[in-house]
Amino acid sequence: MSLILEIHDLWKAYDEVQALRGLNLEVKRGEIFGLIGPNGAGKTTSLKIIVGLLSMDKGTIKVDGRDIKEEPYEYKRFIGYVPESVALPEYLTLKEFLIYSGKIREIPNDQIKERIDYFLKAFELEDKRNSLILSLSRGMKQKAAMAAALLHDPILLILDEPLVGIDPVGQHRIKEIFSERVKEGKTIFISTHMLDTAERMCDRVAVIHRGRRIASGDLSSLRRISEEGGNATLEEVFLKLTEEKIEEDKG
Amino acid sequence: MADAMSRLLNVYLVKVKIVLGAFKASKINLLLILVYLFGVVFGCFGLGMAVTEAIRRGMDLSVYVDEFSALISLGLAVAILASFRGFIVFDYEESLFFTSTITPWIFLAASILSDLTIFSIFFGPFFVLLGMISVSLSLSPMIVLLLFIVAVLLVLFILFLKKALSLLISVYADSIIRYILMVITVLLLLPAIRLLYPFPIRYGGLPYPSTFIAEALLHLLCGKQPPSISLLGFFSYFISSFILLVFCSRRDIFRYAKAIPFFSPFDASIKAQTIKMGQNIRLFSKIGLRFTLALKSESLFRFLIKKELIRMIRDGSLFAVLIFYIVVLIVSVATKSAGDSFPAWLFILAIYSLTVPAMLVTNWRVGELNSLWIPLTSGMNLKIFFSSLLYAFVLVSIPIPVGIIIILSFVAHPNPLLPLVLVVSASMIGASIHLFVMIRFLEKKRKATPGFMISWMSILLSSVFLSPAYVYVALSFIFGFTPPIDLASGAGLIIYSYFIFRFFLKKLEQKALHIEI
Repeated sequence: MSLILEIHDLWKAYDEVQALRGLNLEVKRGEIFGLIGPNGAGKTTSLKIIVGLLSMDKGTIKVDGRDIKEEPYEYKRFIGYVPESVALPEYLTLKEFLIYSGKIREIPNDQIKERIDYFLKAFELEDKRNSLILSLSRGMKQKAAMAAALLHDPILLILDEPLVGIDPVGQHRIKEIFSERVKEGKTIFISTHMLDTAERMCDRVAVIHRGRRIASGDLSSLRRISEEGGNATLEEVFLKLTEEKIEEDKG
Repeated sequence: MADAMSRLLNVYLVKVKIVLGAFKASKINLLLILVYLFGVVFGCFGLGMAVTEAIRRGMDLSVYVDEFSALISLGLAVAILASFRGFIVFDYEESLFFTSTITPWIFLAASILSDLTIFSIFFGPFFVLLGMISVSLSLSPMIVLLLFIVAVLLVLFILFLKKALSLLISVYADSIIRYILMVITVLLLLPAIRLLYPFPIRYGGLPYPSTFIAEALLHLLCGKQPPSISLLGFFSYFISSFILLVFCSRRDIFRYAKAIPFFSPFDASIKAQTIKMGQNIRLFSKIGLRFTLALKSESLFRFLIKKELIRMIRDGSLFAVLIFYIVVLIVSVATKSAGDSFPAWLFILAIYSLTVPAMLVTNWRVGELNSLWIPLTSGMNLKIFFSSLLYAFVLVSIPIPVGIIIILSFVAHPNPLLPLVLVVSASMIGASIHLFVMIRFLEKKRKATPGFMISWMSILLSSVFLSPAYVYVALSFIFGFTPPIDLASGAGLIIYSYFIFRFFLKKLEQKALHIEI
């Protein structure tokens, strides 16, 4: 499988705080890739740099082979993004928001209409079509943002804590949509704290700690790296890896 | 007792540090506040010189009791209306203090002290003004002492009143208190009509707190002993407000508190404004939903302008602009009878036309900053995004005042040319500079700067670029240029403004690439 996302030696600092210290990642086409790590590990920072909301201090990021520094606009046409705290234009109705999202992505009008109908149904938001975003619950806003991110059929969907605030039925539906997309050869890149979700959803994960990748691979290879037993859960593997790293750092 | 005092001090320190802590977020915050303080200090210095000189020449300030009372009444009315929100606390206060051993009394006392501290920082220069007048006029120590006591008690009176009424409204939520307070507010402001029109009731003859305070302060400033009735009257009101506060805080007031997300007016006020914006959207979308953003075959540029216009209808920005200029219309028509009020009217227009673009851009920041990630991550051409935004601002900030000016040219003033040039230039220059400055502050390391300071800075910058228009309007007014000269110069100024508009739009497009959110 070819690579859809390549991150090489990524560095980022906020004043005195070094958020990323030479992060390296490779995400393959057609997989669900999870980025996991403790609070402050640099997950959200990495995602924000990939989608162009933050600048990087040093490093290279390629999306579908395009260097994002060289082509700061073009690559965004192929990605969809949903942040952790979804803030949407509250004065628009849900339908208007999706029209807006489609228009700025320059999707033809007939396709916008068709896809809005499809995603409103898929995310069970049909009855909220003409409601103001302001009146939607947090979970509904999350689903609306996801619908907007999928509207242009991106080859890489980047999601920060995608299932937080969404009810179990909604979570199930989202997982189904993710699976359908992966079958079509699209890639999902998620950052999450929910290790059980990552374990069940992701084909591969990368564990990052203090801005560095400390391990990556599928669950079985992570078990090998962490020297946990064959039945170890991702949580156990994660705890082992991060504790080792903390001990190392202390040393 | 010592334990209670120590807890009070702790609560007070936490509150003050949290509100003022925002200044630490950026060095530019400190710089801007210093600039503000210096600006106000110099303003007060100038005012102090003028007042001192007037008193030296024998002017009796007590003849301005009505005007000064109206000003104080306005402050009291604002305090009363602000109390209608009820007993509001910040969410951090609820989780930190209400769940601890802090008693309602300690909390209230600390709140009043912290309000007083913050008030003193920003209004400190006015106390400097009082000091300056006292020294310049060599007032007796007794008079100076009394002057400062009255000034401090006035601030405390307003704070006690606001706190007590907020509690009263929260505790007796379903009572007629709101209506009574509204009647009081109207009564408080009613005599101010006399300042515009002949009206039988004047502040001077009423036992209002504002009248007592005004009489006391004006007498003291002239170095005279204030009438005993004024001092006694004011102290009675002050004591009553304190008793009211004690009465209202007897209950377990924490139960009645309404927690809102914390915001410091000096930093994250965008949070508070976002909450207010939500309320505005709820209110204005009742009308605003009649205008919808439909899927039509049109350019992205036109679509985005339409989207911004819809935002301005639904978040109340358009309504605010209308109100702004309707005030100009009312003032202008009201002062028509007072002889030639053209310069005053032109001055108000100059101030308003500069403020409107700042308000529009600030509202955009409040409503759209959090959702700016949508266009920024979409891969769209940001030039189109920002130019559509600017054109939308201009589309709102030009036609409304132009309409008002045209109405006024028929009703009150014959020559609409100068005001039109002023409004069109201010709109184009103001909108582009405000947005440019706002975006500049979204760059790395500049995000923590308070919105009001950004607006203030951009107003200053806009004024600089607008100075040719101001100078011309002043010259034309003084020398009475002929209409053809006005027309030619006006056209030149509008072309100049358009160039400034284009220049900042280009700069804006470059800066947009460096936005970090």
